[in-house]
Amino acid sequence: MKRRDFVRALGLSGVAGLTAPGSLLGTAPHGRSAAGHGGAPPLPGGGGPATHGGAPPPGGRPHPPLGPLASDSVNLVVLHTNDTHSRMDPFPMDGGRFQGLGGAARRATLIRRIRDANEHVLVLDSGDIFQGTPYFNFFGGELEFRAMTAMGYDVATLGNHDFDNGVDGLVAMLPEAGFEFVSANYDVSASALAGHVKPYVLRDFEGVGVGIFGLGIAFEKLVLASLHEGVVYTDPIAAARATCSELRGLGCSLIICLSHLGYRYGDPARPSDRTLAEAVPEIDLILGGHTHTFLDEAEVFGQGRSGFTLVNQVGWGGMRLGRIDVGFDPAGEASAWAAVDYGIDRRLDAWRAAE
Amino acid sequence: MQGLGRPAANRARSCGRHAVGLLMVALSSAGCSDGPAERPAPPDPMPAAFAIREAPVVFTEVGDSLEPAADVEAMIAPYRAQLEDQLAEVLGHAQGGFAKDDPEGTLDNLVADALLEVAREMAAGPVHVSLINEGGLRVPIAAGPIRMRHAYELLPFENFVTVLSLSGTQMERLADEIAAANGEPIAGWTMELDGDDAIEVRVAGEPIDPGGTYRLATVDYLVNGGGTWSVLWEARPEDREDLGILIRDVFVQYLRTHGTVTPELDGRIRDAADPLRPGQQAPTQRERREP
Repeated sequence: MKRRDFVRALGLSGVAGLTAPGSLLGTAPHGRSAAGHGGAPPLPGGGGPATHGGAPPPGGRPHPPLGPLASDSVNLVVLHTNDTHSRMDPFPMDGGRFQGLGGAARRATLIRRIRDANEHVLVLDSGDIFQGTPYFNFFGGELEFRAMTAMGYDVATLGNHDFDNGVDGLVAMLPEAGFEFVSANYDVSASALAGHVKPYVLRDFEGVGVGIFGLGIAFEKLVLASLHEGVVYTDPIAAARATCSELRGLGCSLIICLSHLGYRYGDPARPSDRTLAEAVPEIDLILGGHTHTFLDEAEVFGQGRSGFTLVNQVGWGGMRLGRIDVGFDPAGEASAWAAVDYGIDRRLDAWRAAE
Repeated sequence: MQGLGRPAANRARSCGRHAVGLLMVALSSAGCSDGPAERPAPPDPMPAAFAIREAPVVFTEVGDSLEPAADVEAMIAPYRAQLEDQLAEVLGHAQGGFAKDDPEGTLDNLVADALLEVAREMAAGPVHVSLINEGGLRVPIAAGPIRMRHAYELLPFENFVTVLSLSGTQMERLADEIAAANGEPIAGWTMELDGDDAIEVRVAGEPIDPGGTYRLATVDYLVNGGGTWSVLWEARPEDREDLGILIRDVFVQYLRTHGTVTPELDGRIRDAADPLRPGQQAPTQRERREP
C-alpha cells in the first residue's frame, strides 16, 4: 500500500476521533475544497474517514499502526527567506554592520547543498523580493526572479514592496519566476494578477500533504492605490481560518503560512505573526517577513492537542536562510493517532486528481 | 502520558553561525485510548493528525564560507556590469559629509533645496516651498565624488514630484505636523519648534497669510496617501500639478547643475529655545527677535 493512500483529511477525522462523531464536521467547507481546485469532483463523504469511520470505539483502542507507516517516515526540510530586497550581491565591504553577508549566488550554493542531502525540500519566500538596490530600479525585478528560479524556490508570497512598480510591473516580471505566488487575503480576481496568485498551493511528499498559503499586509499608508490597482486587501485572520479549514479538508498534514504581516506591533489589534499564531492555531509554520526581524530561534505557540505553531523570520537581505525540519512519523509514540489519522480516504485521490 | 501534544521547545543553542532549537512534539494517544470520559473538553477544533517527531530549527548565515554558485554568479554578472557602468558616473562633488538630523540636517536641506529648485524650473506656476519626508532619504552622503550609485541609494523609491496648492491655513497645519515630527526636510520656508507646535512660520521671510495660496513641491507618495501628513491627502485634483520627474532625477539634475555641494545648516527649522550654532547663517526673523 502506498503511503499516500493513507493521507487524508486528517484534521477532520482527528476531530471525529475525539468527540461525538461528526460534531464539528459541519464547520469544514468541503465543497470549497474541490471548487478551489479546478473543478475536481466534490470530495466524498461528510468528513469522516472513509475506512476507519471517524471515531474509534469509545474506550477501545484505535486502529493499530499500519505496517508501511510504522516502518519509515517522511522528512521534510523547509527553507525560507524574507525581505531579500533585491540584494543580489553580498553587502559591500564598507564597514557597515552587514558587510560581507548575503549574496544570491552563495545562497544558491547553500540551498543546493541542502537539496543534495535531503530528499524532500521546500524553498519558500515571504515577500519583499523587490526594491532596495539598483538591480530593481534598473531591471524591475527580472534578475531577482531569475535567480530565485535558479535557486529552486517553490513558493513565495507578496510583500508591499513587490508592488513598487505597480501590479503591471509585477505581472511583467512573472514570466521570469519559475515558482508560484500565494496570497489568501489579497483578492486579486479583479486585477492583472488574477490567475497568477493563488490563495494556496499543495505539495505531496510521499503521501504527506503540505499546504502553503500566503498573507499580505494592509496596503493603507504602505502601498499607493494606483500601485495595487484591483488588488483588494482582506482580513488576514479570517482568510487564514478559512484557508486552514480548506487545507485540512484537502488532507494536508502540514500547513505553512508565508506571511508578510510583520512579526509584532505595539498595537495588539494590528495583525502580526504573533497575533496570527494565537488566533489561528491550525497553522503549523508561520514564516514571516516585513519587519526584518532576526529571530535566532523560532517562537513556539501552542496549546492543546492541536499541537503548536512555529513563528520564524530571518531578518532581511538574504543574510540568512531559515531551515525547519519536519519529520512525519505515523508510528512510534503517536501510533494510535497515526493509525486513525492516516486512515485511507478517497478524498486524497480527489485532491490528487485536481492537482 | 505526555501532556496532550504540548510542545517542549528547548532553547536554542548558539554555536557560532548557527542557532539550533530542537522542538519535540509527541502527540499523546491518551485522548484516543482512554475513552470519552477522560477526553479534554472542549476539544481542539483542529487536532494535528500527524506526529511531528522533531522540528529542529536552524538558520544559516549566508557568508563568505559559501562558494558562490557559478551559474547564478554568471547570471548576475552581466546585470552587475551594466549597473556598475551606469552607477559609476560622477554627478557632483560633496565638500563634506551630508547627514540627516533633527530638527534640521544637512542632507535634509540638500534634498529639499534640490526639490525646490528643480520644481521651480519645471512647474507651470510659481513654487514657494518644498517638503519631503526624512524617512525617504535612505543613506547619508559622504564627502567626495557623488556618483549615480549614491543617488539610487539615497532615493531608491520611484516617487514623482508633485506641486500642491495649499491655503495658508493648511500650511500652518502642515507646519505643526512637521513640528510634531521634530523637523522634516524643507526649503523656501522657515519655522521654529515649540514642542509639537510650529511658531514663526514664514515663507520667504514673510509670515503665513491664512487667506493666501502657497505652492508646495513634494512627492506623490505623500500626496496619494502615503506617509502621515493628512494635510497633503486633502488635495483635490485641480490643486495638484504632477511634474513627471522622479525625486531621484531631481537630485541628479541638481548635482549636475551645481557640480559641488556643501553641507549647510541655516536654521530653517530650529528649536525655539536653542541658541544659534556657531558659524550658522542667522535667519532674518531670528535677527529681528534678538534684543
